Amino acid sequence: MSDSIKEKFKEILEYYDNNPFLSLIPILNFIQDEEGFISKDKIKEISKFLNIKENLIYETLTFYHFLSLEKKEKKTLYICKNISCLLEGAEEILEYLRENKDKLNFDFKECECIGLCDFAPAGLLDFKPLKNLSIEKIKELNEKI
Amino acid sequence: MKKSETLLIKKKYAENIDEYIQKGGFLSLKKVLGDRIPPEKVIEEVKKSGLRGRGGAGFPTGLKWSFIPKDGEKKFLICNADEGEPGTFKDREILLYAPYLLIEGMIISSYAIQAEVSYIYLRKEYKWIYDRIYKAIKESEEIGFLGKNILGSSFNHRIKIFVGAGAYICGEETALLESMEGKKGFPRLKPPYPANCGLFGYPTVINNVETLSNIPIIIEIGGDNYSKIGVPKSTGTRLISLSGIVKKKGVYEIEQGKITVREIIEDLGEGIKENYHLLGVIPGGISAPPLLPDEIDITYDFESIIEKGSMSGSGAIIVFGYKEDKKRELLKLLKSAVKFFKEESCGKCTPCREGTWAINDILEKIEKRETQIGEGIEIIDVLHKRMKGLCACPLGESCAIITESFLKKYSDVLK
Repeated sequence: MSDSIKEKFKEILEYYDNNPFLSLIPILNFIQDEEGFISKDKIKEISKFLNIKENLIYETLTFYHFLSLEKKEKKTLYICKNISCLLEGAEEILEYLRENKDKLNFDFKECECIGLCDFAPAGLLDFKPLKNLSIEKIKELNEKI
Repeated sequence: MKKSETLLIKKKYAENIDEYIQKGGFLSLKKVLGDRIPPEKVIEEVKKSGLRGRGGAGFPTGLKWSFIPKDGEKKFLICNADEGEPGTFKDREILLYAPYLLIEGMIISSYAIQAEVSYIYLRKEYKWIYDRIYKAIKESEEIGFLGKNILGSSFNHRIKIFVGAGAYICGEETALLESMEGKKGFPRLKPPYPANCGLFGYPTVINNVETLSNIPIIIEIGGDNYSKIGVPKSTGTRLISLSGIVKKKGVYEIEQGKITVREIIEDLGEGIKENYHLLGVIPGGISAPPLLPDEIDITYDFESIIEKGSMSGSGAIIVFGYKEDKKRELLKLLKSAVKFFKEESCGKCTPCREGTWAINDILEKIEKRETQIGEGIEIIDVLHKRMKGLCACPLGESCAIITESFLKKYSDVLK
C-alpha cells in the first residue's frame, strides 16, 4: 500500500473515532472514487488495515450501486430514468446513447432517482449533476471528455 | 386569489454563517444553552409543537425523542439525508441553502437527547453537496457552536458526515444503521427500535433533514405558537418537491392544510405545460398511490391525503399526463416505478424480493396485452396479501399498493 493511501486510510479511521466498521464504507468510497473500482488487492489491504474479514467486505461492497469490483476504462455517466425524468424525455436520451455506444468516450448506466427531478432529464458524471440534459448536451459532453 | 408560499425554513437560507447569524441564526441554541433549559423541557416544547417527521412516515418527533432512555453513557443522533424516494429533492435544497439551520437543529436535538456525536448520512448521489456541508460544520466549529463546552455550558457536541454508497433502502432508518456499521443495507426486524438499540447497539434517534431544520424555529417561536401554524394534526410548513408536467418545477414551502393540491399545481407550479393533458398527481413520492384530476381539490396535509387513500410521504408531488394521444404511455411510467422497487428491493425478505419481480412480469404481460387488466389486479391483490406485514420494511408492499391503484384508476387509459 502506498504511503499516501495509508495516510488517507488513517485519516478516515481517525475521523470516525477509530471505529473500523464505521470507516469501512467511507474507505471503500475513497478507493472507488480514486481508482474507479475496488481491486482484490485493495480488499486484502483494507481487510488487514481495519481487521475486518475479507468476505464481509465483499458482502458489503457488492450490495451498493456505486461500489464496483470491475475495472472500468472509461468514466460512467449515470442517467436517471425515473418518472420525472421519463416525463421530460430521458428515454430519447438513453436511446441515443444506446445507438451511439461505439462513438462515446464514456460508459453510461441507467440509474434510479438522483434528486434532480426539477432539472429533468438529469444525470451524474463524477458525482456532479448534469441538468436539463438533451442530445445536444450529450454530444458536447462527449467532445469534452 | 393566487396562493403564495409561507416561509419559515426558506427565510433562514444563508450563503455563509455571518448571514445566518444576521438573520437570527443560532439564537435558539443560545436560548437553550444560555438559559440552561433542561433537555426534557426541549423535548416537551417539540411535543407541544406537534411536529411530525418529514421523511415519509410522519411520526411525532417529540415522542420519538422521548423514547431515548435517560441514563446510559452514549447516545447518537443521525440526520437522514438519504432522500431517495423518486420525485423528492427538498432536503437537497436545505443542504444547499440552509445548512446552518440544519446544524443548529442538530445541536439542539442532540442536546435534547444528550448525544455527544451526531452524523449526517448523506446519499452518494448528493456527494456534490458534501463540501458545502463540511464547510458549514467547520465554520460552526470555529465560532464555538460545536466542540467542547458549547457557549459555556457543559454540553459537548461534534457533527460528522457519512456518505452512503448508493441504495434507496438505506433511507429506511434501520437499513441506514446497518450501512453505517459497514454492512449491506438490510432493514432490521423491529422491535427493538433504534431508540433502544440503534447505532452499534446504542440508543439512537434518526430524523430527516427537514424535521431537524424545524427545531430552531420551534424554539424561536415556542411550541404552542408553532402548533397554530397549519392544521391541528399537521402543524407547521412543509417543503414540497414539485416536478413532472408543471411549468415551474421546484421546492416550495407551504403551510399545511391551507393550500390544495390543485392550488399547488396552478398557483405555485403555474399550471400544466402546454400541449399536455393532466392524468393525475402522485402526492408523496412514488410509494404514494395516485390521485385523479377530480381528487386534487383537497388540502395538502397528512390527514387529508390519507383520507383519499394515498399519503403525503416525503412531500414529493409528481404531476403526470400525456402529449397528443399517447395516453398509454402511462404504462411506461408505471413500469419505471415498479422497476424501481424491483431494483431497490434489498433481497432480505422473500415476499418483497420475489413479489416485486412478479409484479414487474404482470406489467410486461399487460403491455403486450397478454394479460387483461382485471386479471392483473387479481394477481397483484394475492401478492399484496402475501407481503402485508411479512417484510422488515414496507418497500415491497408499496410496490403492490401503487400498481394495484394505478391499474384500478386507469384501467380505461391502459386498455
